[in-house]
Amino acid sequence: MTAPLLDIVDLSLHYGDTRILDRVNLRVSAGETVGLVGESGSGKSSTVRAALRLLPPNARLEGTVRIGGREVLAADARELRGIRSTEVGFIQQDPRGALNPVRRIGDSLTERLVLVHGVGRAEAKRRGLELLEAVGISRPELRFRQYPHELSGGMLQRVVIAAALTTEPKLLLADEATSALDVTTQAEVLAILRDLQRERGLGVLFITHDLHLAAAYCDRVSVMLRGEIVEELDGADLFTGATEPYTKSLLEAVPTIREARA
Amino acid sequence: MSDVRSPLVVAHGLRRTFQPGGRRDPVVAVDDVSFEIEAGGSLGLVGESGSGKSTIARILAGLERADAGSLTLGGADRLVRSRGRQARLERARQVQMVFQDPYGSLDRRLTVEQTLMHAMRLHGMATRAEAPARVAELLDRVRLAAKHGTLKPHQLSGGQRQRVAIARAIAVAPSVLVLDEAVSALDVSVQAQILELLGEIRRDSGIALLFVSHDLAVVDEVTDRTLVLFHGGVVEEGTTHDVLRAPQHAYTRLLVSSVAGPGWDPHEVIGRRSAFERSRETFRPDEARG
Repeated sequence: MTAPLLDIVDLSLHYGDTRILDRVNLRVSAGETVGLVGESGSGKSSTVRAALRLLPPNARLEGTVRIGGREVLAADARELRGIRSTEVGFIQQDPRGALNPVRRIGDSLTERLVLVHGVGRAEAKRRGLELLEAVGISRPELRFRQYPHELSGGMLQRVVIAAALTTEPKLLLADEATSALDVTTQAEVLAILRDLQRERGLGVLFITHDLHLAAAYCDRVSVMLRGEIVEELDGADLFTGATEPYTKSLLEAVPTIREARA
Repeated sequence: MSDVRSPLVVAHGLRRTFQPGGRRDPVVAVDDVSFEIEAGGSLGLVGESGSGKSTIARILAGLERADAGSLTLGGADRLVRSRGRQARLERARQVQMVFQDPYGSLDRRLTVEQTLMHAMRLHGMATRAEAPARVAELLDRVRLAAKHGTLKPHQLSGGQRQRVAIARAIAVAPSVLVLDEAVSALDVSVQAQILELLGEIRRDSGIALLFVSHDLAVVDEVTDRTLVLFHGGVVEEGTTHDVLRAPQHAYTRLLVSSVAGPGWDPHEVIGRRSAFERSRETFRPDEARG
């Protein structure tokens, strides 16, 4: 039995006296997709940011986070950089916030490959173009030279997804990665992730507010409320097996195309 | 509302191309698009990224020009350039836009009250003396507490910020509200509240909605009629109920069947998407895609 790619044990987060996370437990194994759902402010993004220690200095963390078996919370700056740059890909919700507005798409896309992994520029470019194509971006050569403001939000999101995959991480933390994409583009991106999961055991923590998608795409789904995980279900059972009142109320709020409209 | 028989918005043969620069072919973003919106009506625009939804929305809002076609609002031409500041302001007032990211569209240095007052004063909607009462009314209308008036955008949640953006839009009494992915970034429970609010605004003030979204279930909740766009052109139009439940066009069927649900498989969606592209090539030459 290999160690899980992401193992979060009793993780709590405080800012001063304010508790943001309360003994969160989450585990993502190789090849697995684990969904994390809940309302805004429930702590989904904080969980991911805490796991990567991307938090302001006044954050107080307790518990254990292991990524690829390496301890994150106790890691020194050098180890932490190693974990972040080799083990994990992180896709943030807002692609405009994730890309430097005055740098070309191609530079943002390949910088990790070149600077951290020492890949030559030509080879990095080749891989970058390949990934842009794979995430359904037309005319990748042109996009490579363009700046973020020249691309639509949907296209930028795909650039960010491609950038997270350039270094072939084993674990992907995807925070509302496909929420801004239309259904067919979303399918393109998720199909790529699913292929990577089958081919090389990529593990994905998939934060989403789309509960239908979570049910259809994730192996397991954890439901968060006020910093706690209140329920954990198999994706396939999300709509039928929920027992927590909060999970049920979330499911009821989901807009659905019903056969007969009230 | 003036004349019930003539629609509020009439768009006919709208076309917009973008020149990407260099020697590349121009990209047709909007291709011969026609539609009507009744006063107080609600039209949904759906289609994949790059299908022209946002460009149409921006043309209606006056943020983008059209190369060809006509567009009238209450009988007045919206494509000709208005002369003079007053005329331009008036034209801008009639169609207000709410964007996906309220954080980007609100001035982060202004409090909510200042934002609302600024919009009203710009369009001469309230005197200095009337403004505070109007602000209170607007906050109430979008279900924000009076205390929120003194806050700045970063002190509000995403849902609250979107309420402020809606309040600012309706503060100037527009006849059309254009919403471009306005609820896409919100989680389901907040989304449900905003959709309810939009329904109320439509009922109470008769403001018409142009609703752009990639989320078909959301379009189903807020619109009466829907336009399905593909590569800039309209492939299907009808009541939202029929378009989403009994789609006629192959592309609409593809869109509807691609929504995640039990048994959903991304590879299958892609397979159907490329099968559709192939069937399309047999009767229509391929064109540059943006």
